[in-house]
Amino acid sequence: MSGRGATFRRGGTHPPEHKELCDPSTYSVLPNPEQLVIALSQHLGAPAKAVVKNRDEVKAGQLIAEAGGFVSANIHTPLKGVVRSQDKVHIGPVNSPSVVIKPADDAEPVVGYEHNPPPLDLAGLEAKQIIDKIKDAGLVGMGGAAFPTHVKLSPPPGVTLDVLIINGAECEPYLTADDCLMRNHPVQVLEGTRALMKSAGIERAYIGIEDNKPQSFAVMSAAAEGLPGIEILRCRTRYPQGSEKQLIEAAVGRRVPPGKLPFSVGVVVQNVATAAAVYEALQYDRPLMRRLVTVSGHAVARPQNVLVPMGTSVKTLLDFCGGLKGDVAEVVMGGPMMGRATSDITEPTTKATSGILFLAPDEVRLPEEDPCIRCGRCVAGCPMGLVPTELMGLAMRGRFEEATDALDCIECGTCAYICPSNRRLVHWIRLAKWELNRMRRRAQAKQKQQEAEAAKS
Amino acid sequence: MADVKVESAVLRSSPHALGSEQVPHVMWTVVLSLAPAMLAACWFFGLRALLVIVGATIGCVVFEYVLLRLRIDARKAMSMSLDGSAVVTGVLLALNLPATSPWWLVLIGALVAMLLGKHLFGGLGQNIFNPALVARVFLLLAFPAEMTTWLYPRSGAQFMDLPSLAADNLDAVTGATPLGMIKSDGLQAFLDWMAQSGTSLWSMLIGNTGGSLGETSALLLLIGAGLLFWRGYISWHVPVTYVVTVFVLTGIMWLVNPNYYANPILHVLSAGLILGAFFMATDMVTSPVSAKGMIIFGIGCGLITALIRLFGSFPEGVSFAILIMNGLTPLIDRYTKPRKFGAETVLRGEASA
Repeated sequence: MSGRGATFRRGGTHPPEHKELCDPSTYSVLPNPEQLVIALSQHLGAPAKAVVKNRDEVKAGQLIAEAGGFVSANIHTPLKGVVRSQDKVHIGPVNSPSVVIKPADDAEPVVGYEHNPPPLDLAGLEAKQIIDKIKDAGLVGMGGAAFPTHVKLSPPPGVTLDVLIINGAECEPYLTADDCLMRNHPVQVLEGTRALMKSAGIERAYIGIEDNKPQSFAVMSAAAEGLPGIEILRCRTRYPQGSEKQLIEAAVGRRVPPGKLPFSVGVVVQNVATAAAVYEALQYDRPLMRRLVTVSGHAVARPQNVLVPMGTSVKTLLDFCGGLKGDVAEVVMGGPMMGRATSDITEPTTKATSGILFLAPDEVRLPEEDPCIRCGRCVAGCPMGLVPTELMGLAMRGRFEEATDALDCIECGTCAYICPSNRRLVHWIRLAKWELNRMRRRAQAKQKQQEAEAAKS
Repeated sequence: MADVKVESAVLRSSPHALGSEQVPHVMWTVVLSLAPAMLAACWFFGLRALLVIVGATIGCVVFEYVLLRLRIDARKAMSMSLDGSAVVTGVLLALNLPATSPWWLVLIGALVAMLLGKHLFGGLGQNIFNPALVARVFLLLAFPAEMTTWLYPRSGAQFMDLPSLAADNLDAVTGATPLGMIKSDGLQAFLDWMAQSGTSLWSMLIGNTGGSLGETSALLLLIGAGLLFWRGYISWHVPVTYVVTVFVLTGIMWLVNPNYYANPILHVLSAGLILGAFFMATDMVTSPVSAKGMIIFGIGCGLITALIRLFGSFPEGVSFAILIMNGLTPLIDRYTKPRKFGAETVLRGEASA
């Protein structure tokens, strides 16, 4: 392995890290909020279906909505309380059903991560049992995409998996929640890794950590000693190192083909927080209902990592962190490269909320777009080998059929970040993706209809 | 705690972090990289060179502003005409003109560059052809006499000394470029002249030969280009393939008949090849965006340049070569897309499916 750490070959950039703002050595536990708004469509796939009624009393960890299909996930309440209503809630562009819970006055605060927890006893468990537990506990990818974990562990027939990668790269600027988890609770991550290996019949696992997190690397390396098949992999600090396909290339040199899943090269990738959740599901039968969230940015008074029950509003978290200390220019759910801007302080956190950033005017640029000078930086910078400026041009002219390469865009934002003309490249490429997917759905619907008519006649 | 004013926060799609490098940084760095060549021009050609550079630059900026004002408001037009791109065009145009250029030639050049070269296509980033080269070729075809009256280089000590360009004095202060001499009088006449006047390849490298302002010192041009390499504004692909192609092709002909064809080193060092390869063919707007495309572009430029120089009726082919390849750039871009991530991967277990 090179002295500079493993990395991907093509493109990428290195934005200022700003990780010093939010200390990853420790975290706070949020006191119970006044209410939780738990979105039922907070993962990829079908929304979960509520199994509680208004005025039902619920215990902490109780199932409140069950998976609405194979690609879906169970949802549990983090706190004891009463179901107050089931109004719709906006999670960004998604208008999701929700369960609103009023925590009881005597409700315990959200359960914390144990210190020095015991190792898992996997001897008696079969792969299927582990996957079932993961499914029951409502686990989803906690790195941002919220893909249901059990689906990732169920490869299509004929595909054999031989490598598990646990993603601790945390390449987004500002975010330190994964760093915080690895430093404070390495056992949960490692034991969860072991369970994931067993669940997919994999004997080789890498835990990828960027070299801007030396403490995490040291703590995890020490804790991994004596665990067969697990290597803590030092990755170069380079964006988007934590992107699934890029991390796979860095770890094992395999490149997932366009339009394919990591399955196709025999790899499964899970986030470190997801691995820790796997441990808790197996060891304590504890569902996924809270997570570490980085609250950071120059506009918030006390940036810190907080253990947050899902469904907590932005405002509650902001108040806990001392409120705003000045003007806020932009509020971002997630990291600054791939996160989503919001102006809704009632928006609740979900299983995938890795951070909330309150960015002050001096750390946000809102420039006018200049004409593209065809400098080609976006082309050289695109880790997926696309031509972002061309895709943007096609999208702006409505020529979506010609922009099918947009479907391979991972929306990492490298192109727009390095563009000297401040072009909103990802914005337009995202539009092209959206239009292409819509066209595809329409074509499928039309075909189905024609087949149905043909069957009738 | 202050009232939470989150509702006024900006909503935009990701990324929310943007790099700090802007178009003006790029353009003004290019201007800076041309400074050594501009200084050399002033050293060798005196005050006339400075006047040409200043005139072309001011001309381009003023025409840029006027043409921008036809479609956008004054504030934006002002900021765009000072973003450095018009200055780059002006300086490059000046470096493509002889020091003897009359003032009207310079201004016509600036107008042609900005109007025909840039704004008829829609302004910055939209033009297909390098504006400075459009102007140069226009002037070369429209005013061939004025465009090929080359002042003999002198030294900086005579900076303020403006030689008279009156007809009776013209032959004393002007002469042909090396390639022009070879084309019109043959290689032997040129070699005789070199021996007679004490001109060596070394003097061509440092710039002590006749030519346009920017055709003199290959060395100082390369020093400036070094800045662009270091800043990552140009990559090796275009200039290296361009120069190597010219060197190889002219070298082959030289090996075939060294009595008729000039030494390839002379070809590389003479006339606008270095200026063209490092500063004009690398123009971002008019060259391909992918590495593969840039290599094809560079080889094409080299091929056409060598063909014109060796077999054409013009002594020099850099401008034509680059313009022709500019025209091919959209096509090159279309067929040289980078390979998508993972496109080469052989899938496992799907052979049967």
